[in-house]
Amino acid sequence: MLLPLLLAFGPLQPAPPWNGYLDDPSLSSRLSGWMEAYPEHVRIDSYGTSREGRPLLVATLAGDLASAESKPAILVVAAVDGLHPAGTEYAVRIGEMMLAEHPDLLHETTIYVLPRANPDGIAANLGAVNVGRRGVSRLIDGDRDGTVDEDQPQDLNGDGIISQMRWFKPPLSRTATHLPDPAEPRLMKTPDRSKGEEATHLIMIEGRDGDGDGLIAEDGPGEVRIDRNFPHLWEEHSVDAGPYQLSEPESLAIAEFVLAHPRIVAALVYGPNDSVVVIPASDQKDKTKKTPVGIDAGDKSLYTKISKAYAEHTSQKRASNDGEEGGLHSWLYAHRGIPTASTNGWGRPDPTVFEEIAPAESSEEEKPSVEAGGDASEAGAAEAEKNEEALKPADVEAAGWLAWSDADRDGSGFVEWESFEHPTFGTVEIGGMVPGFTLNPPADQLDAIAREQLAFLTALLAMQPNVTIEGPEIEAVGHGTYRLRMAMVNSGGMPTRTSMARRNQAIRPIVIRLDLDRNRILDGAPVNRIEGLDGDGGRAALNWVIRPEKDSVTIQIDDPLTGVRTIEVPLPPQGDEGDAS
Amino acid sequence: MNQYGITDRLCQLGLMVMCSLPFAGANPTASAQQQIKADVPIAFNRFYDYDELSATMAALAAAHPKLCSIHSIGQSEQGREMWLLTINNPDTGSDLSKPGMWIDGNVHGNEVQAGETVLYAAWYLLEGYDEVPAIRELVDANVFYLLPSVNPDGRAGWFRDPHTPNSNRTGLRPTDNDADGLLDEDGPEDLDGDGHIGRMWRPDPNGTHRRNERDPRIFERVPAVPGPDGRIMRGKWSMAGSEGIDNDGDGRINEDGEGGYDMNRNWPSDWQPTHVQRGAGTHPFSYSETRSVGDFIRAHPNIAAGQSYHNTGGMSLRGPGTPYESGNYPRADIGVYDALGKAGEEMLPHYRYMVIHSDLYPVHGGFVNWLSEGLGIVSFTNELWSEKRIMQNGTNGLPDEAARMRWQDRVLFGQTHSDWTEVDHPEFGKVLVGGGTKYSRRTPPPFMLEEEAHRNFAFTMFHASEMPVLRLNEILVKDLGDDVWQVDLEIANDRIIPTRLAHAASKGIGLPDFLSFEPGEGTKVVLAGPATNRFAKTFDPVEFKPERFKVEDGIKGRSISTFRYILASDGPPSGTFQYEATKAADLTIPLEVVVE
Repeated sequence: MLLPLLLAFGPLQPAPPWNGYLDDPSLSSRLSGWMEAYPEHVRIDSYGTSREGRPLLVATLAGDLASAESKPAILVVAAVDGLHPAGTEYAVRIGEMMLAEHPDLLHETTIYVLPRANPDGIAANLGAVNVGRRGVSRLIDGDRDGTVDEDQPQDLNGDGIISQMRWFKPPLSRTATHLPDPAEPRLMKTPDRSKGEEATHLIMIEGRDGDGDGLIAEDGPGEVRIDRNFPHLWEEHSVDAGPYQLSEPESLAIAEFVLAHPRIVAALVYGPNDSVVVIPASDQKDKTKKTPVGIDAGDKSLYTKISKAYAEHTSQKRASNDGEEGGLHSWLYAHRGIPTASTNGWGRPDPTVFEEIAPAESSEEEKPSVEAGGDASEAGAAEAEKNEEALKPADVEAAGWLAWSDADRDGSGFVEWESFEHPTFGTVEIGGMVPGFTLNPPADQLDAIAREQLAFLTALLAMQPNVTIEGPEIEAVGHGTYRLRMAMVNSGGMPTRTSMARRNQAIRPIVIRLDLDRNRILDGAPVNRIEGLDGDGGRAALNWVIRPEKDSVTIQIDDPLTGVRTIEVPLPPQGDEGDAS
Repeated sequence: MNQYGITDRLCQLGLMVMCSLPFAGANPTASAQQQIKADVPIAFNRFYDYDELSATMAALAAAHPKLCSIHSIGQSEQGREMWLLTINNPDTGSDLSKPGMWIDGNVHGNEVQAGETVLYAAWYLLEGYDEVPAIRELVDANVFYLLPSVNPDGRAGWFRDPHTPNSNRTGLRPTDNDADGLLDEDGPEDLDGDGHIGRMWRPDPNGTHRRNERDPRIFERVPAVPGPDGRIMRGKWSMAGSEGIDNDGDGRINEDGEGGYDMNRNWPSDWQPTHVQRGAGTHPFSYSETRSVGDFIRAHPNIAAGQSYHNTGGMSLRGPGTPYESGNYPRADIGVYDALGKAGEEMLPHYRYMVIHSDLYPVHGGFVNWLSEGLGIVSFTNELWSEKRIMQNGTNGLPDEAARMRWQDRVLFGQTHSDWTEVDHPEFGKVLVGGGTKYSRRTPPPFMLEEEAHRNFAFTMFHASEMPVLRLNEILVKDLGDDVWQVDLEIANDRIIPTRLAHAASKGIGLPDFLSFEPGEGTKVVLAGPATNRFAKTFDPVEFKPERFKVEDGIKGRSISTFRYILASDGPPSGTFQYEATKAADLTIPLEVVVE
């Protein structure tokens, strides 16, 4: 009864491209709904607080909440980037479908869902104006003039979107840098002098020069990004990286959550980076020559397997990638040794092609339009036609999005350039791609995408290490001496420790202790470390020769992912001692 | 936080501890040099544990309430306060308005004399203020932030527990050093009960070592060559490791003692994970001690100079810690470091001025690297004490084992060696336990501590005295006619350190300097900007905001910078210039033209 009222008087629907997406209050109430519906399987906690004071929420999904932390776990993190609220939509739907359809899977594996890692950035974009913020809300003196955030972007044309301004033939005090792309004049490109191109326009963010320093919107909030603030390949002195690694409450809280949950076996990160459509490079090292930039060569087969599962379960064929520098996903892997799938969740679709257009007709129709457009001669028109065939937009990706926006989204991905009287510059044009358009699908596609993502997550879950123990076998050698043998086999698809984890030791080995006085061990060690069992049948064998005093020995297996278990091995009768001697 | 409350509390504690110390009352060693009377007598021929150090600091602050304050910048892993002294004369301005020098020590728990060295600096500055003009000048022009122990737990543990000279370097957060899932489960034991962790030798008929014939305290390796009987020679002893037992039954001794990390690898600049840099922690500032220091320093951008005391080896070290960070030390900045470091070599016997990565070893995420590369602060690490100082006959080398023994017998009266004692070891049976005490090798003998502290203080004060100080060199006014005036403003920095390191300017670290002009009545700014010098015909006027423009490069060391203004004024122009620098006191210059 209250619902329609709330809708009627509630805040404005978020601007495109995220109309129909969850704002902060809707997210909280939706998560609270889970607790009501599945009180025994879900707990919602706050793992920190954003700089603007929003709680950082984590949903723990488990078969039995009391033992959730002692199970191997999968970590799902979404909306690290302010421009990727779609991640929240996927994470929420995945959680809901998991609870409703696969509660059995939660018995042996806990799932931690961090649905909105950057609530301040998301809130900034989902308000009345899409400000295109990627980062968190740290205030930065971006132009280093001693005042903070005094020259922020402004929605000058009042369309609810911060887009771009292009200034045709700016005065000589400013240098033109771009020209409209001849292949797609709505997109701007830098000139290619070998083709005789000349810059005609200056591109700026939509705004005023609030502080009169000649720069436009150079000092707004949100420059520090979570995905640049993690320690792996962190770029010191780059503004978006933050003043130091994990300087932001949002990123530090994720890091501390991960460090406090050592049983995370795999992670799934939704954001502008991809490690599943395209497998990260496995042959590059950073400046220390000891840390891979993409993945360690030893983990290539694992990442290939994950990538194949992604291809099998989802329809995403194209992906964007925003770099490893300071990324959450790259840190999870390179510094914590956790297999991490990073994905946009959704890639650029092909525009719908209308087949009824006959080629002959179209060329007939185009000719006059070329003539009408200018004073091209017959020969010139022919040449133009030839050129047009060769013309390729400088930014093929952007042109593809634009084509899809035109064909399938009523052009909602692009603000058409329109003239505007700027208070300082005079006549400029405002327009350009809508921030976030390329990362966030229309709301009516979210369910279908999330279902694919759930299938992938389920596959990832099925891939986790599964260690079985063969033996122990004990054999009397005679004279109170025994051979003790044991083997461990990993039948799961993932290794117990990635190659990277073996290198960085962030996950410790499986420790096997023989509870026996060292003087009673003739061969073998009292404490043994299994550095790692590869996936799909990786195996390690342990052999001891012992002379125990008691009539049994105890083996303790301490697996960092599954915990401790002990096996008591009774000693067999010694049999005929004459045989052994 | 109630700073005064803490001071009171510490004063009480201080008085208690001080009364129990032998030096309470008049003591000739307790005057600063040249017979200056000290309000707080502190003997610098002894070491102070964490509680004593804290109490002494509180007493210093209480005796000099105007110049000195004490507050805790945070708590250690085990909850000890991290006491910091701020020495600032409020009559000459607030601390943030002056160039600041950060002085710390003892980030490695075993490097204890670093604490006394920082304490000495505070003591000398405060006690010398009234009577020594050079000290007064230093205190009035600058602010000093002094943190004698960055690792209070390590310090407390070193004095309290048996240790080697090399332990505990780490902080005391329990850590799994041997990857067996257990934390700190196999540390050393003081088997012979002498208060030190020594070494163990086990009898072994096929041993690698024998006892020296002239001095049986020395174990020497037997060369693996045939002896007179034609058989390969063997000794009677083999090394059995450092003093302790195998607590966790894994066949190894002392492999997982307290802590197990290095807080001087936990700072942001070029921080690398543990597979690249051992002991680095999980991420920068992952320990409460480093985080507290980091927060304090980031909140004090006026800090222009940094000094961190360690032991041992006699070195003044600067970054970079790796070859690939060399680009962060442009030629101009290296000139600054060289001028300071070479002066240090003159003041500090047997010290060498060195570059960390090329002269010592690679370091990722080191403290002075962060100060220099991350924050643009000219900083050194001094490795206090060199055993070269044992040799008094002019030899500039390290003593051999026999010479070290003669020194410890004849000069130290045998105090840094524990005789070899037979102990029953659960695993090895009878072993000999003993050797150098924790006071051997890395710390100076008490009678040399004060000299070490004073000389390092002197070097650090030389560094402090070279922080930037701005001065108006000259204003040159030229009437260009038609009510237009050219004003050249020459601003000088007579010190070695610039207001902005070249590295800071190139990476945009912190705020640039600013030059602003508040015009007087009837005066207008037409153009303003830097000029090469007073003779330059042209200059480089800024396009926007001439009334307050950025000076990204700052004022270089030992140089004069010229700024030119074109002013419109129907009479002689007037107004006020203000040069603002984060790392120097601001300079206010009135423009008053006297027409002759």
